Amino acid sequence: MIYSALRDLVRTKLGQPDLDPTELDLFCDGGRHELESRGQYYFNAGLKDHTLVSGEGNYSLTSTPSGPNASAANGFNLTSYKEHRSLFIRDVAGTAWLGLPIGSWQSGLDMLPTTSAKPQMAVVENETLWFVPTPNAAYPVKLLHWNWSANPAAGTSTDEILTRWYMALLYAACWVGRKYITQDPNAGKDFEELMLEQVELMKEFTNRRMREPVNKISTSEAATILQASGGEK
Amino acid sequence: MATGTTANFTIKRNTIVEQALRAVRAVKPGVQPDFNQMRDGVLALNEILREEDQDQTGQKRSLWALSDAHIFLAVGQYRYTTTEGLGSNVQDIVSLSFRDLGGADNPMDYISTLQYEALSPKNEVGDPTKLYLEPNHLSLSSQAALVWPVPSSIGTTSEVTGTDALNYSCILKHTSIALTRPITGAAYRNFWTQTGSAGSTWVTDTDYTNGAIIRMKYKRPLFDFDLADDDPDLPLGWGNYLKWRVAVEIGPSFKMKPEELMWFERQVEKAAIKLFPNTRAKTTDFHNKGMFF
Repeated sequence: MIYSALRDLVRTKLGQPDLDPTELDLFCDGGRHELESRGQYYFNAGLKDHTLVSGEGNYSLTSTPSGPNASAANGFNLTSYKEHRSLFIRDVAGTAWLGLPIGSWQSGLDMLPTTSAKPQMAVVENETLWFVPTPNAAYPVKLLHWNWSANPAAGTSTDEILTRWYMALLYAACWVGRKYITQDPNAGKDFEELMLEQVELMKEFTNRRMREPVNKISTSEAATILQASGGEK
Repeated sequence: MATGTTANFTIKRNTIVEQALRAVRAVKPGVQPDFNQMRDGVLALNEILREEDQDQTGQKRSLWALSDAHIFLAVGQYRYTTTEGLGSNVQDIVSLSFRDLGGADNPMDYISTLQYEALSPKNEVGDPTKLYLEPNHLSLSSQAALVWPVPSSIGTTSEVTGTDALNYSCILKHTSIALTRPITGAAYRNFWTQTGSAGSTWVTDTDYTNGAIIRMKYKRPLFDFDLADDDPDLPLGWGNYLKWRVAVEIGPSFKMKPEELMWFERQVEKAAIKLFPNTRAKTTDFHNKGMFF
């Protein structure tokens, strides 16, 4: 389905043929946000290879320049960065990746050295990714993350949601639109329920497809998925 | 992977903690734990290591964590510290010997506080036969060795510069050949130890002499798990033991039931039995184990 077709369907479904195009875009964008704020989906997944800079501990996630205390262009530049999945680091001349756990300042600052060394922990603070301790060499890192997706700019374009999960976006946009038009927080409950049904389908499919139980499912379900894939028991 | 050769499997600090976190169901399969979860596990693992370190002394000492030291004696000096060559991390002495000026080794006794106090006079002169280590378990580098008796003549310790530009002191008299040159000679460790302050240039076919020294083999503390990719300072095979012990330690924080914790403790026992098979009977026949072990 192309984007303009979805907009037509939303307009029809809401019974508002004279909707302002800006409002229509607002419903579709809001609907997509409702979907993506409820889970992580396979089409949001991303992988970024990066190289740390010796002596530089903070890196912008969303732009090219590094964090607030640095001016060099060493940021991760993930303009649609949503959330991390996992982070790995390896020695400069090493061949094995090692998981680099992300935590809060409170959990690790009192355990880690203040001198530059191989990072032992990372902290996500707003749009900045901190490596603690500050790296003492150009360590390669691999950041697995989730991105926000966006509706296509052109009406004739499409993407994975519009191609495979158009009903989810349709119901979500209608739910947002109904609430917007009626200014009633309880409005559009039918659309909400239909959307949530689609969300569960998308989550389940993501977990099954990625073998990465990121969405809220029970541990036993996750284990079943992984066992089915021959992965971790 | 070739079989029948040395194993190349290694386990890292974070891997052990991560396994324990999965055992207590704190982390789902396929998900990377965060540092907030790992923190308690890392602390618990280091506590466990220190416990093992204390436990593995005496007859149970860990044989992979031995070091040696040479104390260079001085006339009239009965108390020796790291300045004279005592190791800065002596946790438990394994063996002691006095090396005389002729290069011969004479066994010494490692004595207790009471035994040392019973010695008289404390300033006895002669070849050393006993050593008492003034313990300081809060700071191993502050310990001192009390030697009894002390020789009236200690000879001369030759000192040279190694090919690595460091100073080396002679610990066994010999006539130098290329084989004994520090540090390129294959046999140099038998004749030199890296200490000193004013080494002369090493010359071949020279008679180098050792002074009166006490040779010491001791158990050092096990190394901490400081970094995420630190290997355990324990042989391969200890991984499961550490994992289950960490799981027992952090289990209550993750709402494990008492019966689950007991099951973890059973895994610890099973892993320990695998590590120390001589703690169990080697037959299934009934007999009084106390008679055999």
